[in-house]
Amino acid sequence: MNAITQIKAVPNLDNMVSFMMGGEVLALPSSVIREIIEPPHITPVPLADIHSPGLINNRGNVIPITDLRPVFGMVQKPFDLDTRIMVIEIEMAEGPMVVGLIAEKVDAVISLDPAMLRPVAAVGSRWPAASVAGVGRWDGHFVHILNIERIFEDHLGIPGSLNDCEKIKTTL
Amino acid sequence: MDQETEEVFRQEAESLIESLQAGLLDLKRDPENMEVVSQVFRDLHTIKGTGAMFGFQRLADFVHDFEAAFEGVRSGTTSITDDLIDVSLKAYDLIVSLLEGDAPDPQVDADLKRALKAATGAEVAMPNSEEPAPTVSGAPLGAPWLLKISLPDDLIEIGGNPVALINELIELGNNDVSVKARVGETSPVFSEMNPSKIYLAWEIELPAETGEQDIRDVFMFHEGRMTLDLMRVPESVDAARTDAVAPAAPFVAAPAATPADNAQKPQSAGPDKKRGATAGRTKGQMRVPSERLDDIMDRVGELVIAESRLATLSSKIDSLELREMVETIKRLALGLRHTTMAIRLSPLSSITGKFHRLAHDLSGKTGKKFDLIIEGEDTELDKSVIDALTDPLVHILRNAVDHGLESNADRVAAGKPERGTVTLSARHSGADVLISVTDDGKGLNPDFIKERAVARGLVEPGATLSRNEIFALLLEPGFSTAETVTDLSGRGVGTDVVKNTVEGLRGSIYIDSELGRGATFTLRLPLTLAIIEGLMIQVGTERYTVPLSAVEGIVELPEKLEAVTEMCSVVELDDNLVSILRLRKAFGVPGDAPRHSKIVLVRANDEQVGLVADRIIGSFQTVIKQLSPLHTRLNVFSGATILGDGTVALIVDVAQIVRSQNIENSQKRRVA
Repeated sequence: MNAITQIKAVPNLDNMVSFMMGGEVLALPSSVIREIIEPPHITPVPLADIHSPGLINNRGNVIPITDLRPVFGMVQKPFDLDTRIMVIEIEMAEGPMVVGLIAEKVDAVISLDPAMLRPVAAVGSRWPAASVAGVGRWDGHFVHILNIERIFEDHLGIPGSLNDCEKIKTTL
Repeated sequence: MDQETEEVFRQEAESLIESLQAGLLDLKRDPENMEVVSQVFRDLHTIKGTGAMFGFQRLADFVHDFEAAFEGVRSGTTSITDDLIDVSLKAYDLIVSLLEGDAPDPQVDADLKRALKAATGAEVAMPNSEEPAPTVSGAPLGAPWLLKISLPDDLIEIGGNPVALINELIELGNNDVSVKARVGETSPVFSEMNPSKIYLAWEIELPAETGEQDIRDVFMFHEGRMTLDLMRVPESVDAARTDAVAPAAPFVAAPAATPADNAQKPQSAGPDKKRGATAGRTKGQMRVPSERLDDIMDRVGELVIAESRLATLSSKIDSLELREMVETIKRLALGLRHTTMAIRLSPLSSITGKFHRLAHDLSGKTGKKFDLIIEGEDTELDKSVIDALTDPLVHILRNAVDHGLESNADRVAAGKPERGTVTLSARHSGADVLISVTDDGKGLNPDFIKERAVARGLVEPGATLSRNEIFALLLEPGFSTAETVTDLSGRGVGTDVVKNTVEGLRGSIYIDSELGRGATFTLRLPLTLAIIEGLMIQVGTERYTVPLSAVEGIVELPEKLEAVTEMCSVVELDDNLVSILRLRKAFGVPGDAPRHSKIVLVRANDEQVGLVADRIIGSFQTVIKQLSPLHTRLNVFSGATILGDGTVALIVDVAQIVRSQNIENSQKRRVA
């Protein structure tokens, strides 16, 4: 577990988008984010899993909405003025997938110092180790960098695109 | 060869080999048809020529002998026999695999060449094809060839490469070739030369043993538009002979020339261009990569959505002019949609060649003599549906012959005509296409199938099933495995795969059979996959679309049933018992259903089922958008669509929702 593997696993720490979910500060690399929009009308999908409750029309494409909060046992704060949908595109086994991720608030584009990056605590964290690529510090907060592909694979049941070897690397 | 050229070659070769196979199978039925013989010969000749041109040397060598066999037939020295057709079909397979870039054992080529010779009963030497070259008089046959050519001056503009042609000649002559370029006498002054035109003529000497036809073949695509003068070298013109290889750049970059309209130049480019390659293809058609069509279809889909949004907007603004404009756009969009769909449609005949071939092979393998009759070959379906259908149909046909037809002796014993008949027929039925495969074999034994299904735990022992329900069991996964099929009168090797493919295309399968008389497998498929007519309904606050093709009627929910709250129940409607499914319950909508709910009667899995909706909104053009894997696994919705106001509505997969919600219920009913 050294700084070099961490940098490999989390490319471009200079360009992270930080956002709030369940009261925690999280971050995703800006490269996976297509756009950040105010919540449009969401069409509920009956019988769907709680983490993917509906569909939206995003520029003529129908994309699913994903709510990661129930997956990690977070309280689902109702939509308010700060709520945003982060439209992200991730690479999964069956090709690229575009989903709208619910964020309670989107903060800023931030840079994280690779030297300050730590793995997620093995005990006592709500985050399974594989779901977080690392924990950084920014503006006096801890920032969890999500390993979004792994979350979709492990918790939402979408086959991932990484082979086992790469997985070991990204889990730190 | 760059990718684009390769693609063009691949497409051309594809149409040629299709035509070749069709020709061979036609000849099997009608060996005397000289027109078909000529067609086969032309196809082979073109495959050889283009193959050599694009570097498929092994292919070209092999086809050379194949072609020679048919030249024998064409000239009447030998005739079409079953043997020859059999060998030819095998040779066709080799061509296909060579074109696909496989590298089969070279022994295969040699064996087939021998077999071809044996089948034509001749030691075959390659005779001259199409235009026999004028015999050259006055020069000894052993003298080297002298070839004088001037190429079409726009050869480079149309994508030709003179250097490649000359290199080909050099290769033909085993590098023992001399090339001299001549500048035309009436070339324009240097400043007026067009660097993409050819102003040179060539004199090329080739070794005496080079085949005359091989030399001519190099220029087969240009022969109508160039001057080509091939003769034996009159004695002692050998003077300038060198081993020179023509360097490419100087020839083209520093041309000396004739003006484009010079009389020395051949006639203008005409239909002759690429004559060989276009032979055997219908005039006025073009091949387009299917992605482009998909692209157009996507855009038409967007247009339909935009148009319905516009209509919604205009209804809020009271303007006659605007409304007129909206009407016009609506009409145009509809027309465009129909045209685009028509482009995507492809006749069933585009895949029937495979079936004729399959029938030929099956007949050989099983020893059963039968006729394959194809009806409604011109029935058109979406190209993607046709492509996806090939495998299921091959499967069903194979089963029909393998397990349906009796041996010829058994047929005679049963008082049937000795030759069996398998019919593949296609026809339109509303917005669907029905494709059925019928055999006149021994048919399906329902008792046997039911026994088997009970043994496999697919149905309860006491269940009462209709005939069609029993036959449908054949399609269940796990009904039968390869080793049980032969001792069972039924079929079913992998028929669950067939079922999955067909349902993936939003189609269904229906099986009927009369014991001792034969069986029919009918596939019902939608015309197209991209846009459907949908019936929009409201359940709770949300709107949903049901494919109109599945809808058989709409009735009011009888008042006495409004208080019933179970999700599924069986009710009496117009003296019929109908299972109904309350969508409010199925979709978990809270609260009571409004009064005057409607029942949408749909046909699902050969059963009429009523879906109870709060309100019917109307029928709409529905552009289908795929769902992400997060939602496809629900197996309740087949897609989503964007409505006029920009919101998303789900498309209900009728067969799936009935199966997932209702199957337990109806099984219970049957068992009870």
